[in-house]
Amino acid sequence: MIAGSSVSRALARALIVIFVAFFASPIARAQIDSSGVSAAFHPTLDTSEFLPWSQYRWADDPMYTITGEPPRRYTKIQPIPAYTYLGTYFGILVALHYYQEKTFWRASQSFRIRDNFDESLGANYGGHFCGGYFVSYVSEQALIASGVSYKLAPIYGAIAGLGYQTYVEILDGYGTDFSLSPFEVYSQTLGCIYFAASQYCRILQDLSPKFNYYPSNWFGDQPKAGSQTPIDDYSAWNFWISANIKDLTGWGFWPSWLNIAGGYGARNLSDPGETRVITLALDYDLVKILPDGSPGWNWFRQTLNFFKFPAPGLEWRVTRGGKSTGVYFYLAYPFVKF
Amino acid sequence: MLKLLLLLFFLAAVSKPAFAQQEEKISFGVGLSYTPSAIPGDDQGHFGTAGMTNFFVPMQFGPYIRFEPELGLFFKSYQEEIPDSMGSSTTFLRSSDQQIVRAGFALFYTKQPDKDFQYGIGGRIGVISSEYEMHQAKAGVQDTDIHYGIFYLGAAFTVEYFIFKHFSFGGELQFIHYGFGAPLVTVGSNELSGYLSPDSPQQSVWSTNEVLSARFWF
Repeated sequence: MIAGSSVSRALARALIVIFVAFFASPIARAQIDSSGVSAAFHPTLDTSEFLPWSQYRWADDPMYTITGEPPRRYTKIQPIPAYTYLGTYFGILVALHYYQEKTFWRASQSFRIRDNFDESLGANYGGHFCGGYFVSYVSEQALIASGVSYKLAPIYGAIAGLGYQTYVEILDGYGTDFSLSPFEVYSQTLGCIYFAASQYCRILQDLSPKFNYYPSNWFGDQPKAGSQTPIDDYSAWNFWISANIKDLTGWGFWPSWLNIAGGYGARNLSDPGETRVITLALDYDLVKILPDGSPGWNWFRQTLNFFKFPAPGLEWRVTRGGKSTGVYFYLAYPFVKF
Repeated sequence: MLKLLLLLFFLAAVSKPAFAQQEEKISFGVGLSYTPSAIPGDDQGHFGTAGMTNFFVPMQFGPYIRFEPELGLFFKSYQEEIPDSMGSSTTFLRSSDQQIVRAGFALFYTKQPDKDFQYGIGGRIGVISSEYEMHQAKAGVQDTDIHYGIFYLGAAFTVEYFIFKHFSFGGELQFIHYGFGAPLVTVGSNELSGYLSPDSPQQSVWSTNEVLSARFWF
C-alpha cells in the first residue's frame, strides 16, 4: 500500500514534470507577442539581420515561414537550408514532370498554339490563374527559408512560378490532346503578377485566390470526359476570390475570421448537361481559426488557407448557351444541396 | 561516384554563399532591341529572316537578377495582279498579309563590376504566333489562312554599358531554338486535318542571333 502510494506520487510528479515541460515547450504552446505572432521560436535574433515579425504580415494576419525564423532583411543564402528546401522544391517539380509525362504528354506531336475558349467553359483559366499564384507562393516560401530577403523572395517566387507554368504550357503544346493556349498563358501570368503585386497592395491581400477540388461524383455530377488526372478534370474544381470583409470594411460587428468568397467553375463538362457554376459562399480564415503552434504547423495552416473548405453558399447554374437553370443553396458547398 | 557527389554536395554546402549582403535595389526601365530574326513560314512554308524590333521592360531585382518581358510585332502586306489564265488580258487581285507576334521573357544572372558596366548570362523563352492570310478576288477561290505556333528557348549572354545613370546601350549574343510543327491551314471555313494529325512533321531551327539594345532606367 505504502509502496503503491509512493509509486503513485512518483508517477504524479513525473506527470507534472512532463506536463510543465510540455506546455512550457515552444512546440506545445508558442507564446504570443504583442503583434499576435508566435515568438517562442525566434528568441534572440539579430534584429538588424531579420525583419521583425510585427512587419511580416498578410493583411491583418501574421505570416509564418517554414523554418520558424523571420525573413531576412538582406539576402544571405544559408547553404544547408537552401539545398534542403530548394532540393525538395525541385524534387516535387521533377516528380510532377514525370507524372504529367505519363498522363498529358504521353502521346506527343508537333508544337501547336491554339485557343479553344469554351472547351472547359473557361474554368481552365481560373485554374491557371490560381496555379500561377500558388506556385509563386510555394517558391517564395522556399526562397525565404533559403535566406533570400523578404523583399526579393516574393518577386523571385513570382518569376519561378511564371517559369514553371510557362514550361508546363509549352510541353502542353506538344501533347496530342492539348495545345499551348495563349489565354491560359495570360491567366497564369496574371496569377503570378497578382501574387507579386499583393506584396505592395494591401487590398489585394484582402482578396485572396483560393480553390477546391472534390471528385465530381461526390456531389452527383459527371467528371470531364477524357480527363486523365484530377488536374485537368475541370468539372471538379471551383476557383474563388475570398474577401477579408473585416479588414476591407473595418466593421466592428463582423467576425475577423469570416470571409465571403465569390467563385467560378464548370460541371459535367463534355456532357449534354454541362453547365457553368457561379458561386457565392462564406469562407473561413484558417490562420485566425486554427490554434497557434510549432513553426511547421503555423506554416501548414497558412498554406492550408489556399484551400476553400465546405461552407454555406449559393450556386447559380448557367448552361453553355447562357440559360439559367436555377440557384441552389448548399449547407456546406458543394455538399448538402437544398 | 555517389561518394564524389556527396563530397561535392558537402563542399558546396559549407562554401561561402554566393549572395553576400548587398543593396537590394529594385529598378525598372523600358527598352527596345533590334535583331535579325528567324521569321516563320509563308504559304510555301519557308522560313525567312527579317529585322525585328522588340520592346521590353527590364526589371533589375537586387544585384543579381534581371527579368525582362519582351514583345515584338511584325506586319507584312503584299498585293499583286495575277492574269486570269495564260495569255489572258484580264487580271484579278491577290493579296496576302502576315502578322507575327513574338512574346516572351528573359531571365539573367547579372554582375556589375563597376557603375558603368554590367554583364549577365541567362536565357530567353517565349512564343511566336504567325498568321498568314491570302485572299484572291476570283470567283470560286476561297481565302486561305495559315497559322504557325512556335516556341523559342535559348541561352543568352548580355552586356550593357551605361552612358548615363539612366540610359544604357547593350549587346546580346543568343543561341536560340525554335520548335514548331505543321501549320494549321484553313481554307474557307474548313480546317484541314493535317494540323491535328499525329503524323504532322516536327520542324526546328537553331539560330545564333546578335541583338543590339537600348534601355532607359527610371
